[in-house]
Amino acid sequence: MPHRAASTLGGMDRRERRWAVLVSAVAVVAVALPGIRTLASPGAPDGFPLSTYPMFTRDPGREVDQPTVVAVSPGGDVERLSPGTIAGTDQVIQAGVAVRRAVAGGPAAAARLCAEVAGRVAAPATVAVVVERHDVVAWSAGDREPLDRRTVADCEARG
Amino acid sequence: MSQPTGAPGARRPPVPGAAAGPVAAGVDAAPAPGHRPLSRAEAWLLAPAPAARLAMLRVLVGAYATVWALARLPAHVAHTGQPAERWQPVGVLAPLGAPPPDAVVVGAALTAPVLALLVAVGWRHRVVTPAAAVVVLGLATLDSSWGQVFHTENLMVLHLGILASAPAAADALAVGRRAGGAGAAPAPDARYGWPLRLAALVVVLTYLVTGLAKVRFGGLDWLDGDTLRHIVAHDNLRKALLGDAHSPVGPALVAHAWLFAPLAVATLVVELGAWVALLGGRWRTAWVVTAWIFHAGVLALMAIVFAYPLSGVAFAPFFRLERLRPSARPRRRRPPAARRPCWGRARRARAGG
Repeated sequence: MPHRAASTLGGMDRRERRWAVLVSAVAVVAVALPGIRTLASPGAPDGFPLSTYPMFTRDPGREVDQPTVVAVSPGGDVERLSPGTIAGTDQVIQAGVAVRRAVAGGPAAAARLCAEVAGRVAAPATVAVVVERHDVVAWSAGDREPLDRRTVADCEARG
Repeated sequence: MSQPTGAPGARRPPVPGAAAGPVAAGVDAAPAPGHRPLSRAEAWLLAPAPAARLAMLRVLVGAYATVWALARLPAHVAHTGQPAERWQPVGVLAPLGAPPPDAVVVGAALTAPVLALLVAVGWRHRVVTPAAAVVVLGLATLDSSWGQVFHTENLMVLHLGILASAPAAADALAVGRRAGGAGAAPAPDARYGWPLRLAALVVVLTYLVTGLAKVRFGGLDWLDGDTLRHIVAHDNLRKALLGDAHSPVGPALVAHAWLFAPLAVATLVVELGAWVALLGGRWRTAWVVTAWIFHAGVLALMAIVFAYPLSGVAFAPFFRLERLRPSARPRRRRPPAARRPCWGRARRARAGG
């Protein structure tokens, strides 16, 4: 085996060199392409792991509508449910997407989600699929009551 | 800024068309001048590096992927309980009209940590690392195929893919390779350099694309701070309404609107200025530190954990990783007199010796 102490490219044959350049070119173009597509069209879809990185780019505004699912106890207390209870996931954003899609899907889809969540609620309560409107700045300052709460579907959890 | 990292004092003859300068130190070795942009780019890419540097990147990425796959194991298995109507596949899973079979998901979830660990130890690298890259890509894509794409694991997946494409990544620090044996410490070579350079370049590109997206979607308004303020407030509100833990810091800062304009500017400086990391030296270090602080800020304000950069592994390709090896630390040999116990010297002094 030849000694390679003096090599820089000396250890690489032509095939290895081509491979390195090819892999690098493909990787660079693949990672950069979503960015170029974003420049050309703001509607370019996101992907993984080649992403347009659209998170935190747009202003959601000061007042936002946030769909969620809550449990209302017989005493009238509103309890927030976890992403696992809402959508069987540990990811809060995916739980939010599941609720948003159910709300957008109309009363039947919201009722299906409601029944699914009710099956995961441990105590007797009324489960409600709601859309809450909040002033995000006021909420951050401690005003936790929504400006508006609209119930899209509700159902009973037997616990 | 850069220094030879081969045998002490060794000098290599230049090779035409190659990075004839010193061994690439992370990304801080100056590329050899070339006549054409492409040849300059190629010379930059193919700068030689020590085998241990690339191997150490393999160890770090493999170790990170092992921890990730173990930590995410319950969540990966839980995908089997998701209703099929929530399936919104992206990336390599996009062609699938339905979620993968449960057995495949559970099998991948259980296999991933084992494969990732084998990547870290360098066992049968040419087979195991591509397999690990595919399984981790599949699982991470699965995580993002339920209506929300997650951007926290992109670099880990990309780095694993680069390592899988680099057959020489287990030429050192690998199971079955004896230190000190014949050929055990290969000379610095371009085959060890290009995956490091590519991994660093990919890091820079992802930050640039992220910054471009903010400019493209948010425009210059993004810099006035209101957008960032609303994003921080909304993200914490969403977490609270959906029953998740949220940051106590973010909402407290939202009241101080003036803070968010400088934070917005700093964010764009980190993202659009990522290319300075390729300059090496203090520029690289300053950017890496700033980017780490940026991610720590995201964690503090929005309770979002970008674990790969926060762990430092994302930035590893920029540095001389071979220095992390315990055997790479120089042993200090004290002079014989200094090694004698002090009581010995006192006794000789009393004896007049």
